[in-house]
Amino acid sequence: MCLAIPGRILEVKSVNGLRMADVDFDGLVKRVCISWLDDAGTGDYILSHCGMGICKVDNAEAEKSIDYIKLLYKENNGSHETE
Amino acid sequence: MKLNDGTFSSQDEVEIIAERICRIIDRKWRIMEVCGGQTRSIVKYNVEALLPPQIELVHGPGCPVCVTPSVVIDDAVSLVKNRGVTLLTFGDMMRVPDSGGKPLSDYRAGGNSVKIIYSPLDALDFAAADTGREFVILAVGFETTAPLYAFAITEARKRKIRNLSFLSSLYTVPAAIGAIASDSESRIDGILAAGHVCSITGEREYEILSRKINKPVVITGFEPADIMLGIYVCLKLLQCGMATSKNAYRRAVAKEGNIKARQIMYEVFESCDSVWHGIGLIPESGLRLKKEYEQFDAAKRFSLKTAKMDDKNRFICPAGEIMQGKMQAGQCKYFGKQCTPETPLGAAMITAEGVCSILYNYSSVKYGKAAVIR
Repeated sequence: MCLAIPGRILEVKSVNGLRMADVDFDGLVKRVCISWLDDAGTGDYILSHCGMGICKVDNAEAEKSIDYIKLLYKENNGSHETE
Repeated sequence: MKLNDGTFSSQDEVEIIAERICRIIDRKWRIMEVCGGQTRSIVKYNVEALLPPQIELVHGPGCPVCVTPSVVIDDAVSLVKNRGVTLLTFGDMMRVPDSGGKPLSDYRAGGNSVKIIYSPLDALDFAAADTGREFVILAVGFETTAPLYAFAITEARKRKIRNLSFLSSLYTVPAAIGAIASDSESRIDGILAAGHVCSITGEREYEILSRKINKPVVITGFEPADIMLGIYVCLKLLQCGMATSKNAYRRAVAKEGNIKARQIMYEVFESCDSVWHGIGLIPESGLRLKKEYEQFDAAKRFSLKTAKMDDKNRFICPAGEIMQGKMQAGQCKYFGKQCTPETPLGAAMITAEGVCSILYNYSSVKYGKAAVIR
């Protein structure tokens, strides 16, 4: 039930005084309230839960996770563990 | 990087982490994933097949639908049958039975007014469009969803919507993890915390929790690589003897969480003791409306007299034991026989994030082999 889906903000608008966004969920565009995400704007990825943006997806942190997995790959192949 | 391009469900990434786990593991560990979304990924993508046999994954409380006591459904049924209200609820709740074994979907089929909503905010439009009718939201959820109900309540007050109230069954996860992890029968060594709950709460509550239970807690995501990474980080903490918390889902969980969501949640709700279906009373594990918002409390508005009893032993379904790691679903004598998604004996076999439903739909019990990571 705590499912949250990543989507990309296409457009931000004000509806009934709320900050709303049209969000592209891999082809399906839905209206999502982003009142809790002050720093999210067009082009950003967010996680949406029940029509509400609950967090902006941090691209830099995603890259760091991928880099960390690459580090593990090197360790698997004999490089010294550096953590 | 596109953030929904499947990077974190790639087989290569998962296998790299799994190999690292196999190389460093030095003894047996039992690790509990808390969230049903994580359980579904683990079972659907057969993550356990890549893990060394020393790691046993234990499936935790999973989903707020599974832990909602049937007396709450009884209250909801009483409102639609006897008070003429329209009940608004997420689709997951429609098949959860009341104390008599009859689900909300049956009451709707019998002509009672029960509507499925996609978001608590939908309720505002329903109520505003028909002011002569009372609408009640069956407000079920963990910290991920609770702020949305709080937001809907504040919006209802702002827009002067007076025909909307909330039948609340809201839970906070850390207290439940604490109770389960401290139970010696559960024999849990480490915890994978639910990433989307933590998107709201942030890291701090889990730092406190790990110290309290003296076990590592790792905030973990939902894609197969996220889960494998969570297991790896947990394993490293376990093998170093470090009872601390780590965040292995940083792209979606900021250290401070979602401050605005938490502020509105605690503006409207306050902590309370709460009964978890199948588990029992857990102190400080629920949320109830504060006095200044009690006009939105359906229990008060309609003078509900529900006995808030511990329903731990009222049903033959042993899901409570399963959700606490004391029993595996496959060990249940009803699993796949009397109890299937078509004939469920408990909520864990009903919802998409219930452990029994997941195991039935994806695991070897039914198909001979689970899905392969894409």
